[in-house]
Amino acid sequence: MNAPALQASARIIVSLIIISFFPFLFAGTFNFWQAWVFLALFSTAQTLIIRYLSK
Amino acid sequence: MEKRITQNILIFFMQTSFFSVLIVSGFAHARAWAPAPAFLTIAADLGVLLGLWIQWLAFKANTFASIVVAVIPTQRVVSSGVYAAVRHPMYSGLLLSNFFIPLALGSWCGMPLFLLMLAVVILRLLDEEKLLRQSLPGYEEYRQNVKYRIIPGIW
Repeated sequence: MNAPALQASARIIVSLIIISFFPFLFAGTFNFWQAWVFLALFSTAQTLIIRYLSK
Repeated sequence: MEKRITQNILIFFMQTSFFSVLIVSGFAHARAWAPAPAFLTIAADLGVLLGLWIQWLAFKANTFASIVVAVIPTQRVVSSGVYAAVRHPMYSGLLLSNFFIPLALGSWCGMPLFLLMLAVVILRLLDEEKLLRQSLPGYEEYRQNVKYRIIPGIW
């Protein structure tokens, strides 16, 4: 993967992780197992997709 | 970057719908509004993964797939893989994952927002088909062969 593609992928992945924290933000707590499971699954799946697309 | 204003508006509403589900689900959790049982939450997580997997299959089959609705000079019709089942598998996966996100976040409250996403995706899809029929050689024949847009046997 070249540097611009790597940077773009990194930006997208960081954005996705930030987005995934929205439920915690509006719940006002990190005691929210459903959001943790969602965050883990969603971020991992999106990262794999982005990695595949960046090849 | 999407240049057509209609598509920009539709993308804005798609993003709004997605963020709204996350926000509403967060609020709902804090106030214990319409909680979903744990088994349903886990099942919904699997539904989200299934939707993302379908999107990945669509990307894998179609190297021309992009957020921007446009036809490039080297583009050709892709009719293999998931594109043999429906004409817009990317949207099938997107709708499936978004349908399950509210329940995956533990509440029924975000479910009505899915209707906004559904409406926007349908509008985007119809607009996209119009462009593809006008600009992509072979698309009309593909349309005849693959009858369904997003749900096999239904629509």
